[in-house]
Amino acid sequence: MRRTLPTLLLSLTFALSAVAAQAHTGLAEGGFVSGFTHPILGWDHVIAMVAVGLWGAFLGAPAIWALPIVFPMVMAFGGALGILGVPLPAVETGIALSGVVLGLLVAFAVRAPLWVAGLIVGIFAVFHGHAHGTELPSAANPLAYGIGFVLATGMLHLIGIGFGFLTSSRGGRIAVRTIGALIAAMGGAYLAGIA
Amino acid sequence: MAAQAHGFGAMETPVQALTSGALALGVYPETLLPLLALGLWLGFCGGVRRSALAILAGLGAGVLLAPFAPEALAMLSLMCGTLVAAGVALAGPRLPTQSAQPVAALTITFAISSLLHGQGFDSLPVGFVAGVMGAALLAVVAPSALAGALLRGGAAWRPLSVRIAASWLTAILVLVIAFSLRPV
Repeated sequence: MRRTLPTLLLSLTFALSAVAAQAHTGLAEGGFVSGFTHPILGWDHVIAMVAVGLWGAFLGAPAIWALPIVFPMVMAFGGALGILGVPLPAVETGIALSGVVLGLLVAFAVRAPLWVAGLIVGIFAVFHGHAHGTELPSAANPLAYGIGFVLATGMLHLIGIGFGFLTSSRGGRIAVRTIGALIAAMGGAYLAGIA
Repeated sequence: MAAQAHGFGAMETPVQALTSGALALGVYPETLLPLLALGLWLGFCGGVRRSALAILAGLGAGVLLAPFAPEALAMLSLMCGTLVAAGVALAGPRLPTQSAQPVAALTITFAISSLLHGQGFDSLPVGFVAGVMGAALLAVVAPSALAGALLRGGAAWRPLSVRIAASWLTAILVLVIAFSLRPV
C-alpha cells in the first residue's frame, strides 16, 4: 500500500478536472452480437476491463482469480440497476475514473489487500454495468444479450490476465506497468473530455 | 389470477413431442440457466451420481406441482439459479457436500414447474414431458461432468475456471432477472 497515496492524489487530480465522457453510442439490436459488441466497442470500458485483469495478475493469488470472479457479478448488478431505470449519479465520470485509478494501480504496482482490491473493482463495476444496462436496446433478447455481454466482458478480463502473466519477468513487469500508465492516460483523456 | 401457460412447438407425433420437450428447455432461461448452475454446484459436491435420488425427486415434484404453479415461479427459479451460481462462484471447493441433495431437489423442482406451469396433467403428451426431463437431466449432467473432469487435476486454474464460469452464469442470470422485471 506504500504507493497508494500518490496514486490516489493523481486520481483525485484527474477526477477534479473531469467533464462527462461521451463514449457510449448505444446499439440498435438486442441479441447476442449486440451484447457481445457492447463492452468491446467502447474504449473506456475495454481499458478498465483489461486493467482489472492486469492488476489481478500483479496482485497474484488469490486476487488474480477473485477480481475476475467478482467483477462480472457486481457489474451485472449495476446492469440490472440500469435496466430497471434506477438512477446512479456521475456514471460516465465513474467509468472514466476507473480507467485512471485501475491504470495507476497497475502502473505503480500497488499491492492492496484483497478486500480493498475487491471494493475498488466492485465500485467501478457498478458504474460500468449501469452504463451498459441503461443503454440497452429495449427489444433485447435477454438471454442472448446477457450471454454476449458477459462473455465479452470476461474475455477482456482474461486478456488482461494473459498480459499480466508477463509480470513474471523483469522486462514483462515494465511492459505491464507501461500498459497501466497508458490505460491511466486514456482514462484521463476520457475524464478531461478529450477522447 | 390464472397462470399464463407457455406455448410449445408441434406435438403431433411422439417424436415431435419429444423434440419439442427437449427444445423447450433452451427457450426459457428460467429453466435452463438454474439447471446449468446446479450442474456446476454438483461438480464441486461429488457429481450427479451422489444426488441422483434428489434429482429424480425434483423432476417428479416439478411435473406434479406444475399445474398449480403460479407464473411468478419463473422469477423464483431465476433467483434460485442466481443463488446457486453465485454460491459456486464465491465458495467453490468450500461448498458443503451435504448441500447437494436439497439444492438439487429445490432447483430442479422450481425449474421444471416454471417451464410447465399452468399445464394440466392431461394437456401435454408423455413424449413431451419425457423430452423435458431428458433435456433437464442433460442440462445438469453435462456441466457437472465437465466441472468434475476439470476438478480432477491438481492445477490451480482448474477450480478457478469452473468458478469463473459460475460467475459469468450469475451475471447472465442477474441480467435476465432485470429484463424480466423491466417496466415495458
